[in-house]
Amino acid sequence: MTCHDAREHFSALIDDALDASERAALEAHLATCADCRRELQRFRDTVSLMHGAAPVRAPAGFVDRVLEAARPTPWPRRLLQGLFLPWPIKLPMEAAAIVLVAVGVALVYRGSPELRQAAVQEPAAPVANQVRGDNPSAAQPIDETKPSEAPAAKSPEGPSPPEGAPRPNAPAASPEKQAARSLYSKEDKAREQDAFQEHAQRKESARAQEPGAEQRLKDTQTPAPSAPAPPATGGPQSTAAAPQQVAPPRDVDLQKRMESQDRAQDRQAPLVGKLEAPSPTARQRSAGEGARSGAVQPTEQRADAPKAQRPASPPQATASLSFAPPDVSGQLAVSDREVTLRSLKELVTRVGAAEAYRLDTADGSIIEIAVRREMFAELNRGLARLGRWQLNKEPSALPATVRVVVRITG
Amino acid sequence: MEGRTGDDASLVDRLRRGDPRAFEDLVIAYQHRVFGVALRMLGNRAEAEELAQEVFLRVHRAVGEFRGESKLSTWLYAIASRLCLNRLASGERRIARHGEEALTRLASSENNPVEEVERSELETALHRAIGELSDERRMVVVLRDLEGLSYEEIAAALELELGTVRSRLHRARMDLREKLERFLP
Repeated sequence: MTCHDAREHFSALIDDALDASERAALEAHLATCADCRRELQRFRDTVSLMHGAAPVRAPAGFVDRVLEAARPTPWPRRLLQGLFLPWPIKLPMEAAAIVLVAVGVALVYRGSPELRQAAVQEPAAPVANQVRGDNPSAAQPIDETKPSEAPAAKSPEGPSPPEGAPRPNAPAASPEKQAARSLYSKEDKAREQDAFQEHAQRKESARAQEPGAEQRLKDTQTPAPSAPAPPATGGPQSTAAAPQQVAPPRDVDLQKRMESQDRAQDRQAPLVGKLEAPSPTARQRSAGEGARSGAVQPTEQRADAPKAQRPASPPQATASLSFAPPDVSGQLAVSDREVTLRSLKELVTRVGAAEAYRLDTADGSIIEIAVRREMFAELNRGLARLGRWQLNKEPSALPATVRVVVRITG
Repeated sequence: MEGRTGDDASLVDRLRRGDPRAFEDLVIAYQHRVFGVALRMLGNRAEAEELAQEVFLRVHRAVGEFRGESKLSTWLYAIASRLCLNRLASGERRIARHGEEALTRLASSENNPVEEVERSELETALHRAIGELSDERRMVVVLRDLEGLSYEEIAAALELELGTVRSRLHRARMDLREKLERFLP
């Protein structure tokens, strides 16, 4: 046995962990090697130092703290600990929270038609007004948002091509138009007012010119929606008037209505003019204004224009109401407009109808109401009680949902 | 492998029966040993107490799984050593270990001041030397020379071969002999 081998056994020798042969060999080497004997002694002393180390005592109160910690926790706390504490990643709670929120939103959304309607209606309401007298293809996005209602809402007697099919003479809706529709705001309305003033002057000058010149003016302005004063392109499309001019038929129809209104209703000229004089940026919206102008001239409009959409029920179809001309329109002459408006609101609520649109001006108010056919008579009687109610036209057969445009004057 | 002592056997039986006093007796009986291993391995009293508490909580939860094939003390040392080595292996606490002088307070305060200073110096040197060993060697030497476990108990607690225990212990003691040279007679 070498010194190296002998020293490898020191530890086991001290612990008495050598077998007999190992022990004999080691003792034989130690008997002849003084260095290894000395080294073994130092090794023993080292181990003795270790054995003599002061014992460690647990701190005071350790037992109580352990017992306290080991006490069974109430189950709600254990549940929370299970959910939060032992997981290196807070996955369970986060995933559960995400799922819970998602399910909640879905349930609330599905469970409340008002909310669903609001999601569609807010951006669509101005669009609906724009689209009506504009390019039919522009109505497409609205239809997409309400796919189930669009086909049902179409009037059976509608003579026009299907909704969304571009007319030959009508310019296609540009992407800018589509985008501009969603930006409808009060500022836009203000710009419309300004544009109206401008257009009113333009219209006067155009009227003085020959029809061709007026048309040229429109043609040059139509493709430039950013121009300050675009043509009056609002109003429903009129196939009957198309042959008279090269211009899109709806322009002709609109022009006719503009002129007739100017003649017949001078008191309301600013309103009508406004309706028919869209600003360039809000040119699409002029369609909606045209629709309201249709309230003034419902006969002409109803005869010519297709019924784009007819709502299945008033509260859910307000967005698409303005696409179609009203079924019934009339004037309500009252002494106190404010009182009448309040009364009308109550009336609308009472008959389960919905107010689809309302425009207040200094001269009067135009209110579009959607009411179920069976409640129309009630609404009609109520209107008669509010003031001098004069129907412009009442069709022989009313649709399931009757769209009534009331012009309040006084 | 040594059999269970009579006290341990009765304690284990009481623990399994759910005797509410049994766990308290267990903690009282083993608190210093478990805390000692934790302190000498971790070198920090607060951390050692936390780990020792965790050892007892695990025993409390898992006492039903204790089959009694080894001594109760060996089982406790096995849990304590595994938790210590796991904690030492985690990177963040290696930084906190250095500069920790808590071990200087290990000396008994019952000696006279002169002895206390000398002893404190020795204890400091001793535990610093222990602290400088590798985790594996330190664990073996703590269990053997400070806690008095047999080779077989160490092998069982650390799940090592007997030869490995012997070899590690020898290396650890050789290291300590070098480090404690000036304290040797």
